[in-house]
Amino acid sequence: MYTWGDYNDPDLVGALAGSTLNVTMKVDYYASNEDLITKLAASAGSSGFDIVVPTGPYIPQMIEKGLIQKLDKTLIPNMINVDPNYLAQAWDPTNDYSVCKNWGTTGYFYDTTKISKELTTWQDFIDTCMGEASGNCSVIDAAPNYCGMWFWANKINWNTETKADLDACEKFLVEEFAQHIKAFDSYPSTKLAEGAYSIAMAWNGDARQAYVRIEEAGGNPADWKWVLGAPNTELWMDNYCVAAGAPNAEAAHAWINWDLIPEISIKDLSYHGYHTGMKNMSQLISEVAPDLVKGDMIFFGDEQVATMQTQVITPALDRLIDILNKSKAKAGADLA
Amino acid sequence: MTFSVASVLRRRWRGPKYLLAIPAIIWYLVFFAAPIAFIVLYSFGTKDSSRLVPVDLGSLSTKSYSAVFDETFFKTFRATLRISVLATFLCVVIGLPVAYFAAFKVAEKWKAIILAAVVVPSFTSFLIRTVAWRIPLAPNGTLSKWLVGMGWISDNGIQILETPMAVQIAIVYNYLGFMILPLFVALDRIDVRMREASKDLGAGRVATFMGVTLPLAGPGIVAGVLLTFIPMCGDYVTATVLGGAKGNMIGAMIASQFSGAQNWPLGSAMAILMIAAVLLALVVGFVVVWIAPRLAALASPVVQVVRRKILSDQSPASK
Amino acid sequence: MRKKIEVLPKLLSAWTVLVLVFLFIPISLVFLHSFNYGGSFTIWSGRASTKWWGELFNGGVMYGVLIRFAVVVVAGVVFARITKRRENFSKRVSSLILPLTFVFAIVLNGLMTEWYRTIFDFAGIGDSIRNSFIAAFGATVIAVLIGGMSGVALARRPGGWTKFFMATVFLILVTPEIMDAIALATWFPRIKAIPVIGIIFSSGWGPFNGGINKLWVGQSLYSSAVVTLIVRARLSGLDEALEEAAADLGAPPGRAFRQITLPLIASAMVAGALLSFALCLDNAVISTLISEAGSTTFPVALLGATRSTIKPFWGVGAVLLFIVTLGALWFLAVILRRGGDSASKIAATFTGS
Repeated sequence: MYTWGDYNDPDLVGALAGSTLNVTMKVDYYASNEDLITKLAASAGSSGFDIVVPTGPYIPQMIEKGLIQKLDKTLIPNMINVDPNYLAQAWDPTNDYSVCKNWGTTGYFYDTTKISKELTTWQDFIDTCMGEASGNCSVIDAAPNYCGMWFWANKINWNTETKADLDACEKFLVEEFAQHIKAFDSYPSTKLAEGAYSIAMAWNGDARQAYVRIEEAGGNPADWKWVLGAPNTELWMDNYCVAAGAPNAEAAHAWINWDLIPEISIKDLSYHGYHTGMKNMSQLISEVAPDLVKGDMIFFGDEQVATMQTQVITPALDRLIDILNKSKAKAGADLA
Repeated sequence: MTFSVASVLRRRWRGPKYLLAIPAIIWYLVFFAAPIAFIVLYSFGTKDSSRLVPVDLGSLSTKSYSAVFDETFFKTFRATLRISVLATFLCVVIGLPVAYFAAFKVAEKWKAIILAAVVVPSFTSFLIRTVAWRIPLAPNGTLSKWLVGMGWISDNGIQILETPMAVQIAIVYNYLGFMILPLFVALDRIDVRMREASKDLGAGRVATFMGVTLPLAGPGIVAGVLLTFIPMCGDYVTATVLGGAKGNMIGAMIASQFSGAQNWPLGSAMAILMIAAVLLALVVGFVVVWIAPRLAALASPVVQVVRRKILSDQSPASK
Repeated sequence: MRKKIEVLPKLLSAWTVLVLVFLFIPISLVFLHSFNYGGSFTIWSGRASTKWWGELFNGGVMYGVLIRFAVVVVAGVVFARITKRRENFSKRVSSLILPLTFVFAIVLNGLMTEWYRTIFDFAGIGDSIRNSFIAAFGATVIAVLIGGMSGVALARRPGGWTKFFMATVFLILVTPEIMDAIALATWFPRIKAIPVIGIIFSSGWGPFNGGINKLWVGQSLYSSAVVTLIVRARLSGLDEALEEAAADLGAPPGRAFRQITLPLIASAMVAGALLSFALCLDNAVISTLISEAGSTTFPVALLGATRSTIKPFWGVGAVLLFIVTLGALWFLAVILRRGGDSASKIAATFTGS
């Protein structure tokens, strides 16, 4: 399996998978969908990966490039456990290639003892990074999220292809914002606990894990606050897919199917902290994991979900990647 | 294999003299020269992400090179060189006394122990050693809290992680062993009588060190610099793990052009310019090293006297 | 004046101690944090635990392992003592007994218990450790073969080609790893077009498939250059007359090589091999860019893990690898010492001069 960092309960990919399914899992990590596609494309069908976990909008181009194969749905009967709301998405209307692993959103996480202001929006985040927390903030190391932050703050659709928007975004992020960034870090939870940043843009599940780490480090989790990005933010859904040329396709299907059993799924959920899209979620939680902590960082109300936007892959993506790279160069350069 | 080598020996190399080196030559041609030739070629291409090999070689241009000289990229270049030069310098300054001590001041048994102690840490996983620096440097860590408690630093704790400073510390740490070892070897070879003769002739210890020991240790310093400076320039791990946005080094930047950004031409151009910069820095460094002992020799005629005295003793160097 | 002379060595020894402490700080932290109770390697949770060590510290298993280990080692020590006293026993053999005992103790434990598997398979790092060994081993074999042969050729048959070859070796040594990494990563997709080699790479069998072969190539470049230098240095310090004399005396060429040349370069080859093995085992930069799913090595997997939370079991893996590497080095030191080399000479061998 080739997946995002720290994205499954270690029991589920380790001992338990071995004892229940007689499947030995090997897990490798990537940091962005682009990395995943590069690695798969570079080996053209012989990468050796079985399961990959791309984010929804990237699926059509992966199908087109022949990087993933059709799922054998007869091997995944547990797909019926998934809430129909999270199936048949635009990128794969018939779920021939993918099935929802979980979904999440983006916000930020900050230390209230270091940042005096009450923060609620992306604009607040940007202002704080450029002011009080300058040189002490981190942002997600993925181009759409990094640029999205500015688009959302300025009430522009983050899927915009308008040149003027992109130019304005580049101008601001590269020339004004980048120099204040301490790190481009997609998984800041541990480093937040070490005390490396006082404010960090983060995916909800990772921010939730930060609470655990902060407690371990002897800090006070109550000092930290999670903010869902506003006025708009992202809704992403990561999906299990089977890579083209997968050497162990059958075991891959078996494992995916197993992970879609509600109890297993909830176990996974309480580890990584992302909504796994099971049917009757609230009932399941009260039955299986009543003591789940920080549920408000996993489950969001309807009006919150309404503010979330799904990414669309457009030709502008190259430009966004370019902006991220230039920002990185700029962020690293001001001390030279 | 044994037999073929032996029969070659017997035949007194009637074939080409490089016969035994042929496997190596083929290996290096296919897996070193050719791939790098392609990198040179790619650096003149243009990015075309629609292809499997995302480079358009149809129209060659030097666009990527001018992009590298773009201000922001160029600054990362300079920062990398600065970190590496400083780290190499620190390695020499920190390592030389240790090598000197081990070579001249201790018994044979202790030599072995000191050398082993220097080498052993280098054989722990490079990555985990680097990651381990996060522990003492963490602002919320034990060391930081203790320093704050003592009132030696401000309440924010140690603010080193995710900065070039963290990279600097870890890079000196990671390569120090590779500096001490060749320094020791070079110093250890110095004929003790040279140093004694110098002192007998009334030269002070400083003059002896500068005039005799240091010039003779030259090859060791050169080897140490080669072993540390070059890998430092291309270091990709230390900066990734500890550097954050500000401690970015060129190695990480090049790698990201090939993994995430898919801009092979730009990455290739960066890599080639990096090598050029490294070689340039080395040439400059060696010119300095080449001139320095000659200046020292001029300044200290003692060396000449010592050399003559040793020659007149007619005792062939036996070490 | 007298007093001044006393001060310098003291200052130097104090400095040396300081530097050694500096060198050992992170290592000891790695050891300590592999016993962390919490879920993160870098954050000490205030509680120690052996939970990341898998079965190794689980009561009975641990005692079993320790007892077997102690019994074998004590027997080895006694045996070594006895043989040392006996005069008809060569000193070469007796000095090898102790290291061999350790190897035997480890193998014995491995045969009798499952503890390797339980630790090394823990959390999926077992495969990466195994891959590291396979990759480093293959690369070392290649490096010793081609490096050793060209080392002999350089020292014994110099000619016009020597300059070019040495220039290439020097270039390989000075090329930053990242350059080799990107060059090979972009080269492998094209390799199918090359006759013979392309076929081996695209439709290989067994270990030649699944990306391990790419690691062999990538890791062997630098280490073969190192082996070349070490062998060349060792041979050019020795007189060729020995080999010629043997030939003149009518020794068959095979025997002349086995009895004269091979012993001359053997210690250099072993030194080169172990150094190369240690370098390859720890190779992160080249391996990261060229590895595939089936060939993820420990450093590659760890680099992947540094993107998110690093669990303490990575520390466990590093400690275990460290012990293995250390064992190899110790073995090497014994072999070189057996040949009468001093610490200085061993150090010189390692730096290829």
